[in-house]
Amino acid sequence: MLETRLPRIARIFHSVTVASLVMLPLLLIVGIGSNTALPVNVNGYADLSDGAWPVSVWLGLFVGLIPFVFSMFALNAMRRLFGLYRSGDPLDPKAAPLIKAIGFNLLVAAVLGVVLTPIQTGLMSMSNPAGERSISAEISSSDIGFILVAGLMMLIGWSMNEASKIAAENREFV
Amino acid sequence: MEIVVRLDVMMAMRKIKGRDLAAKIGITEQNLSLLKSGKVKGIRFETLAKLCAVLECQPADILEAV
Repeated sequence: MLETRLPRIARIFHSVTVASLVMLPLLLIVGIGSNTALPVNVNGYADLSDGAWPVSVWLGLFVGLIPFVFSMFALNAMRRLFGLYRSGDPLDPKAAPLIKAIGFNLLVAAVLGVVLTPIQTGLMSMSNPAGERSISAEISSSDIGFILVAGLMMLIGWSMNEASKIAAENREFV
Repeated sequence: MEIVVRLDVMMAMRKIKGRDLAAKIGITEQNLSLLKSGKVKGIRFETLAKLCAVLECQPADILEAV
């Protein structure tokens, strides 16, 4: 059953991850352009010409992109994993390092997302007039859930590594 | 001390071809060849039992500690 279901579902998820890898950066660019993906309001700079945002805003933008980059690494590892699962072998020795990579990158993205938010908001509002500068920090249940799932993925990756080693050893028995 | 597979000797004594033996015990000829040359990590009790049944011998006739 697994032999037929795994490649079919993997093919679907492979297409979804490829589409996400293309769409997410585009959506982020559109979001930044329309000021909906930013944690603070920078409409105050609307009267400035293009590229005339203060350096601190650009720095804030850059800091905010760091977790996104790790999310993209995780997504790319998912694409490779689903590509691998299309062959129908769940214990392929190449799968375990990819699962670990997904967990690691998701964990880094989740932790950095929480840690870097105060820095990002501080930088982006640094050039605002006095009284409009802010630093915000937040951790929600979804952040904690995300961190737990990422940690779980890493553990599953380690377990899969052991399982694939045992499967490889078992293949050498007649 | 290591374990040496004497399967080729038993096969010669019983005058059975590799293809026939592989078919009777339900493994591939390739795996049987690996087993004969000792290039496997181990042999399952199930495979050993089938070999002994087909070759009408004891495990000690197939495996030898040297």
